[in-house]
Amino acid sequence: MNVNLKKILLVEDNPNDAELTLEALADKNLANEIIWLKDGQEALDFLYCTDAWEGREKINPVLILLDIKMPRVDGLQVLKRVKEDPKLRTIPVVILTSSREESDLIEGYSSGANAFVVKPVNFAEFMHSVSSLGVFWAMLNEVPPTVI
Amino acid sequence: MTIKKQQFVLLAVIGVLFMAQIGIKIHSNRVSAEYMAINSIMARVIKEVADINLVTSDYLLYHDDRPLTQIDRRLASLRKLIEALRFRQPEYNSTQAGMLKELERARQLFERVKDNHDRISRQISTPHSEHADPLSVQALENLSKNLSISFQALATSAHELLKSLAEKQEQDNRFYDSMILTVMGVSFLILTAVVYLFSRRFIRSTLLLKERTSRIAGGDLTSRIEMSGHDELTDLAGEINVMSEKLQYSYTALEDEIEERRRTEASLLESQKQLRHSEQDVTSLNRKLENQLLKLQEANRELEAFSYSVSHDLRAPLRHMSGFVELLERRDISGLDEKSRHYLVVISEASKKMGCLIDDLLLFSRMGRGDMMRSSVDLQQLTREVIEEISKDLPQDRQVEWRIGDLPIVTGDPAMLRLVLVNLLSNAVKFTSHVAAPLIEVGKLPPEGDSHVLYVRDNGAGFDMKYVDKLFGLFQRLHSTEEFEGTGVGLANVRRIIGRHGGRTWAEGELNKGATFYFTLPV
Repeated sequence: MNVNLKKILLVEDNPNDAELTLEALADKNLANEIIWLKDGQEALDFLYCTDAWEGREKINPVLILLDIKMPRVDGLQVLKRVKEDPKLRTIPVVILTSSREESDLIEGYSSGANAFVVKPVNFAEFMHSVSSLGVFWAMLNEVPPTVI
Repeated sequence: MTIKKQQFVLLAVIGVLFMAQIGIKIHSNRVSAEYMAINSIMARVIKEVADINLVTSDYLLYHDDRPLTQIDRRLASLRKLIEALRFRQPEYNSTQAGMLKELERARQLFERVKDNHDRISRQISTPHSEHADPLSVQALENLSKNLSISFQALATSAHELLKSLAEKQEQDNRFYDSMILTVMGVSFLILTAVVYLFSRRFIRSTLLLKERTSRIAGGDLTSRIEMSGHDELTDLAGEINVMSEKLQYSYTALEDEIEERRRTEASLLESQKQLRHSEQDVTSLNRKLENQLLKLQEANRELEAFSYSVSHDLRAPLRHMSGFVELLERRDISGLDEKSRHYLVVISEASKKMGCLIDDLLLFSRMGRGDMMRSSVDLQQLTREVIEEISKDLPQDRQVEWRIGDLPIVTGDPAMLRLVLVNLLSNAVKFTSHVAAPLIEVGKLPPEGDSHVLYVRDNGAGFDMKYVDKLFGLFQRLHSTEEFEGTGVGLANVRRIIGRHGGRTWAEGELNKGATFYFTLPV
């Protein structure tokens, strides 16, 4: 594992979606380590270096791809925690969800989401969307370097 | 006869009777005066006769010449007195004439007495005869006797006349007295009768008036006074009748008014009661409505949760299906036979189709709830934008002729109305895809009441009018998917959106001749 690689956090409870997303990102050969976390609690553990992630290298991920509907702690709660925390709020958070619900959209943006992407049913579109996101946020977008 | 006239008549009767009495009295007085005048004359006549008789006796006794002139004078005066007598009764005129005749005889006798006396005196005084002729003396004595008789006769007649006159006077007085008494009696009777008649009528009328007015005063307003005649009391009765009639009318009107008010009050009370009931009904309805609302909100929340679930959870497996098929295709699938590859295509398309269905269903659900953003929408502008949008997705070789009429500016939710136009116009485009020269019209009909009437007409596949009821139903389709693709949600959405704007939708069409979709929007 290359410790210098910029990490991308994928928070997704559905293994199929996670697999497809990973596939899409892998397709673009992004020079990033993608860490798949299965729910909001795991994501918070990772971000705050607690529990399973205690003692990890204290570098913030360059992007968080966040599903909304998840067990234990859902995506919007994670988003709020991240954006309320001065040490975490600079991390771009892209909400990647099946939901087209307006309320999710509004709540997501008002909580400080950087983007809101609805996962297309069509796989080609899905691949395109996800890989574009990876390219934009992980490669093109510059974020201030932060250390926990 | 009026009371005034009656009074006048009464006074006139009293006056006439009074005048009659006065007249009788005056007449009787005059008659009495006449009697008194005659009596006094007769008294003087009697006195004169006595005087003359006395003087004549003196003359005859003493043969003195001196009384002669006196006798003559007295005889003349006596004659004048008797001639002056005037009687009311003609029977006394003969008595008067008899007296005058007697007086004339007495005068002639006296003349002869005087002649004899003179002759005798001359015989005595003449030297030739010492004594008077005895014959002459005898004659004188006879004459004197006759004269005396004559005078006595005169006196007697005078006395008799006087006596008769006194009787007559007595008779007349009695007559006049009785006449006055009679007149007084008759007057009394007439006056009594007149006063009785008048007062009886007056009293009767007054009593009737009193009785009827007290009846009216007692509340019997129907009482009327029946009175004949033409006097003031009849007039009064008429006035009272008119008054009581008016009173009755007013009373009836008042009673009607009171009854009306009572009824109004009763109906008011009834209304109030009904109002209270209505209020209670409204309150209970409100409660029910609130409950319903709560249930509805609950249902809505459930529906939202359902939609959320549908949109999130239903879509994921689909995505996985198409995604993994795709991933599979990316791998080496040369090992698969043709049929297997076809299956993969079917799986992929089915999942795609289901994705569209879910999206449309969610859109339809969203159109039915949520708030509407109302603003001014220029349908003309919006139509142009939508056409531009649709035209972009059209294949290069598809040429559609658009005709856009003069479309109004309406008030509504711009996104929703946009969806209406997108659905209708894309439908039109879709159903004209098999037509050689597609023509799509968007236009406006004359307003229907307070609503704009708009339409989208095409010359495409059209539909059979017997299925027109199904046209706007959810998932209702009149064409096979092979012929025209679609989910059957578009027109349901159109109807729902127009309905939420207070308009209505309907369609006309003919198979293979095209279709026209109408919708109204409030001005």
